[in-house]
Amino acid sequence: MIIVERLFPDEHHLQTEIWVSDAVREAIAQHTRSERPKPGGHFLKKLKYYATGGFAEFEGDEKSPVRYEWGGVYRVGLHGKLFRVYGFYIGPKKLCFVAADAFLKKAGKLRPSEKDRIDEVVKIREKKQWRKRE
Amino acid sequence: MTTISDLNRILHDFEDSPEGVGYELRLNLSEIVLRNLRSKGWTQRRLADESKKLESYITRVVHSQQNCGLDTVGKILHALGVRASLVQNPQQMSIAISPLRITYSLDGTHGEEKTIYEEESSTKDKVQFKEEAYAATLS
Repeated sequence: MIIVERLFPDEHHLQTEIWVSDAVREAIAQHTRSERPKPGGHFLKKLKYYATGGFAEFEGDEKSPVRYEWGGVYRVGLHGKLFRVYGFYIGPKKLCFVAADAFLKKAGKLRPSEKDRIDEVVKIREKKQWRKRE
Repeated sequence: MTTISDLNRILHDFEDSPEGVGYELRLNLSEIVLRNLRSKGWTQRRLADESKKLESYITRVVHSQQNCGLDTVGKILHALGVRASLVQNPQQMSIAISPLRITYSLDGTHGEEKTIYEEESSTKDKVQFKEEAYAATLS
């Protein structure tokens, strides 16, 4: 069971609400510290930008920032970067996204261990092993 | 343990930095380009050809990863038949970060013109302003 908390809680105009797990919070913070040029924050800014327009608007092929992986799981990333957030939508209108895991890929192609982590997210979604911290 | 507040602080610090202001401009340009590519049914390749830029360059612009000069922005917007202006905030004397005044030329005629000014300096009003600016780009 993972507990997710709302990202950007004061932003009420977002088309997609993002709820993040502890792991995702830590991963984003760690990634931000490594971002160049300083100060980091590009990924967070872009995440908010996507949420403002709605994640569904940015779905598409492998060049798109939001892409379907498998088992109902999508990944969010920046073009040309290897940091990825993995999660799933709640509800048919895709207004809420639960980000369960995030990591920096080792290379362009997913490694077996990275696929295993996505499989874990699939499991969290299918077995509803998550709940919101309001 | 990183909290949501920590992430919000990181984002706020970034948005308040020169890099953040520049990045927001890139996002705005990206949105204008994407919106017009869709409305015209153009590919990035087509825009690259029309603006005499490399396709990879256009891709980086679309993904907000290209720091381009104003003349190059002009070439891209001209190829799309779009005019856009940066309007300096008269009160804060800072760069207005949203596409505040966009005049679309559609079908060879002047389209709708929108002008939005940021009138207050509080965070709440900034959010409201951004909402309005964003909504204007959607309409």
